Amino acid sequence: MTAVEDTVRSKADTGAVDAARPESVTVLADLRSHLRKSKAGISGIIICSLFALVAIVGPWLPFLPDPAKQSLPDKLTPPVGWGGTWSHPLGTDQLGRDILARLIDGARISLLVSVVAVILAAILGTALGLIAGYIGGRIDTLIISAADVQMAFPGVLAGLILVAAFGPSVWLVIIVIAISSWMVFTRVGRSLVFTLKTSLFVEASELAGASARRVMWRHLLPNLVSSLITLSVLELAAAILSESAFAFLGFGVQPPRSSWGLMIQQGRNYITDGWWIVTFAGMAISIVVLGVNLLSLWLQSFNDVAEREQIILERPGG
Amino acid sequence: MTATDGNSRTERLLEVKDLTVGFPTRDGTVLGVDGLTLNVGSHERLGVVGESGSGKSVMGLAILGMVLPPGRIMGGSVRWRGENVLDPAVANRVRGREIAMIFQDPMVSLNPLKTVGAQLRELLQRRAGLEGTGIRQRSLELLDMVGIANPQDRLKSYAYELSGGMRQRVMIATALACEPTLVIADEPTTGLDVTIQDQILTLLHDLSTELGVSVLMITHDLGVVAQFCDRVQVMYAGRIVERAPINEIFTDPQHPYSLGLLKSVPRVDRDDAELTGIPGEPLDRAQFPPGCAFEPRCVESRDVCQDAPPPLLKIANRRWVACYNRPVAERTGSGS
Amino acid sequence: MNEQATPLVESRDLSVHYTRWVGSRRRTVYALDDFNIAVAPGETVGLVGESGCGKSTAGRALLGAVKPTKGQVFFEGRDVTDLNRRNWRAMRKQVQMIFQDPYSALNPKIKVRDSIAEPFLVHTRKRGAELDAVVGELLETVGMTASAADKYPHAFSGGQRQRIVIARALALHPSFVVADEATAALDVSIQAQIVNLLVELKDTVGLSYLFISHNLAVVRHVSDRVAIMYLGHLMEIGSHHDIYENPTHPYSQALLSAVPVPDPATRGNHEPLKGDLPSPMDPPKGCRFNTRCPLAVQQCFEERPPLQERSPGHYVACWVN
Repeated sequence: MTAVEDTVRSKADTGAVDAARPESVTVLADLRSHLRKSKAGISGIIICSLFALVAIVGPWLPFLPDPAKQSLPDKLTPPVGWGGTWSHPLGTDQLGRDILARLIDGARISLLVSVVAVILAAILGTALGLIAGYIGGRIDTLIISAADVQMAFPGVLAGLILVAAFGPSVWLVIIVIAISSWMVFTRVGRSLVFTLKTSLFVEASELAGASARRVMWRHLLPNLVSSLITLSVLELAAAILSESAFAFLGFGVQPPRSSWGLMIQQGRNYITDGWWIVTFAGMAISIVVLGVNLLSLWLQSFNDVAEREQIILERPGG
Repeated sequence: MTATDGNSRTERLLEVKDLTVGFPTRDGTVLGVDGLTLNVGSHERLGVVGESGSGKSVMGLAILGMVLPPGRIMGGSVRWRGENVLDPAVANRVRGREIAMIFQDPMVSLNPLKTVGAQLRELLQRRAGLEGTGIRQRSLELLDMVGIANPQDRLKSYAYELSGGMRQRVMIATALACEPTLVIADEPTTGLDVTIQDQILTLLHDLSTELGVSVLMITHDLGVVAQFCDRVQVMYAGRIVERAPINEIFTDPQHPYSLGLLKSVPRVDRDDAELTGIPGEPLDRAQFPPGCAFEPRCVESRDVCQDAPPPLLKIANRRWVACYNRPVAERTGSGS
Repeated sequence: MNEQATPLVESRDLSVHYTRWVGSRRRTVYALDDFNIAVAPGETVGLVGESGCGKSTAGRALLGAVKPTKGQVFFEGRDVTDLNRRNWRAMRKQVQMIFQDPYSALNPKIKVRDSIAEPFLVHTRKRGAELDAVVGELLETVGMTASAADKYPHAFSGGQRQRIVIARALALHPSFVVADEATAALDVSIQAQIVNLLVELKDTVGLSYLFISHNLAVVRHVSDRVAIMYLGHLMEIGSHHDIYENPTHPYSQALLSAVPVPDPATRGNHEPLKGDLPSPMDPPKGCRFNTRCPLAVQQCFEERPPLQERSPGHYVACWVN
């Protein structure tokens, strides 16, 4: 009788969820109480906001030395605890530049590049997904074929070609990351639109004589937003990794500016004399990617209405 | 509950007393079923009728101890021939054997990956303890019994290959496989076409008579109740508001809600002057008033109705009503 | 069919066939075949039948929401089957639809005001306070308060949502409304409210309805004339009285007797119709009801019976009855 019991479960679940949804509660309040119950969510938010904050206020921090200032006598000073001093808490690199200052400067570049790239990818990808899903027909075939091609085309190769053509720059990295992740938004957006466009409210709007643009903008897009925000956060983690990889390969920001990937690339040669250069840059990447992933995990569970209710309803402190 | 309720000729099978099922919500625990009392005798077809949110489906599941978290049974008792069904050991023994269930959507209840034959075989092995060729024979017999033509071929079919009516017939066959004494049918014909609904209802009616199976019919459709049941209980907001023999509820409804329901249903066999309907909307579960849950929509509402929910009291032989505006019979039972 | 005046909406031999992939095979679905109907101004025509009978397709084809394979639709005597975009938009103001599922019919992410205002934004120059006032009036017309405009659909019950859907349909003063199972998803006490509202609006606003429903009792309550469909074919069409007091087609008779009447006194007075509904992908030849008809004769399996007038305005498609 397992089949029967499954039915029972689904019935009871929906009943409980329906009964448990007072309409006065706003999404914001929901977010807050859901967050309070989610360790992943709290950790993710703390990590992400910490990094974002440091990246934003970094240059104005009073105690921080200039990240580009070289001082050869101080080169390869170890961090505090390994024989270093508090003037360079995380040590210095091969040119005597402060690691902490360079990490913070690098955070600016890494986060800026990946955030801008994901925003560009999300806008482009969602727009194409909406058009493909709603208009359908040849346009759909065209867009989805392009997405498939892009899916199969390695992003690093695209980067190499563009760098060969235009020379390395931050903007190039942004564009390369954006064009290697737009199709994720297109595919997800398109499949959501396929379901949404059979909704009666879409039919009602069409019957009222609304234009395709209006239907897509007013009716379809608002219903995609929450799923696409979650997806953006997930893509952000990938973008941070890509940015580091491009910097490591020397495609992106050029010295004396710093970037986590660039620090790893330069520190690589001194790994025996100055292990701390690679280690701290690598840790920065790992922690921020972990934080972003935790955040997206939490957003996913929040977007699942049934799961959200269950978590909010758990006893306080659970 | 007094022994005069129900038919004295019959044996008392299922006795539900003060059953309360709660669902935790942000605004505290909401009662899906609130102090419900009900009895089903042998050879009886009892209807439970109510609109969405009345708690009728939760009740059906709770009787078999199948309320799943976060919902839970908060009080009351469910006895099957005197045994406590809320005890999981008893429930496991009784469920599917002595009490079977039929749901609205057989597509969900039937396993999509197994043939009809395989599902019946598993059931007959595990629940009825049959073996060998007996299984196939019994499977064919069951399908034949529920009016499925060419049962040999149908044993090889998957649920998706069957029409809605055919699936519901298979569902009924699986329910009857272990020769239950009571079948709880939760909206078994909702979603079926009119002519197919007619077939299924007739089938269920005939089978319950032939096999002597009692049926607890949970439905929103007063037409189904009128055509199928011997006795009916009307539910509103988790409570029973009226209980009556089938003829009397339609000719002489007592609770204002029953009255309103009957005046809301158009009839196919005559021109109705007007559908009165019931004013207002069903309440949000979290905002139930302390008094009678129907009071905000009730035309006969008085001050007393707002204080406490009216108990279900006997007003005449086999007739019970939960309303402060109805005279109570001379010899009052213990009520709720 | 209605001789006195030009019908408001009329269809001639309207057919909708579409293809669907079943596994790896392309199959044609015969959703609607040679559908002829006329709705007079101020009239409510009920369209009833079981699933797959094509009643929803018929409604959508009349509104131009589904492209017909064959046949024409006339609106106020004008052929509107192949309108260009501009004229089509103009006709949109005249015809509207009310849907079955009030939960899916309102965009959950936009306020009630914006849902109701959409037809005005598309077709008129009304904006701002003027628009708000009209939206408020519409909400009051359907028995809601104007303050409902500021809320999102999730704040409302099924019945209230259906009122909002009706308000949106009425926005541009249409003359013809297709109500597709408009009360099917509602509880009976709420269904009665909505049915009453629709009947009342017909007189106060001056509407004609095509009332599509599987519920024969509701159709009886609201309709002036009734058409009965089975697997894409019209079986019988006639006045309210013709269909309910003198059903002639064996299918109409079976359908009416299958409805469970909320009155125990009517129990056990009929024999249920046998068999299942055939698939619209593989409809029977001749009369489509022949697989289940207790009266079928040889001719029914060979030739499709035409709709013949048996008494003024009462048409039946049957070789036997």
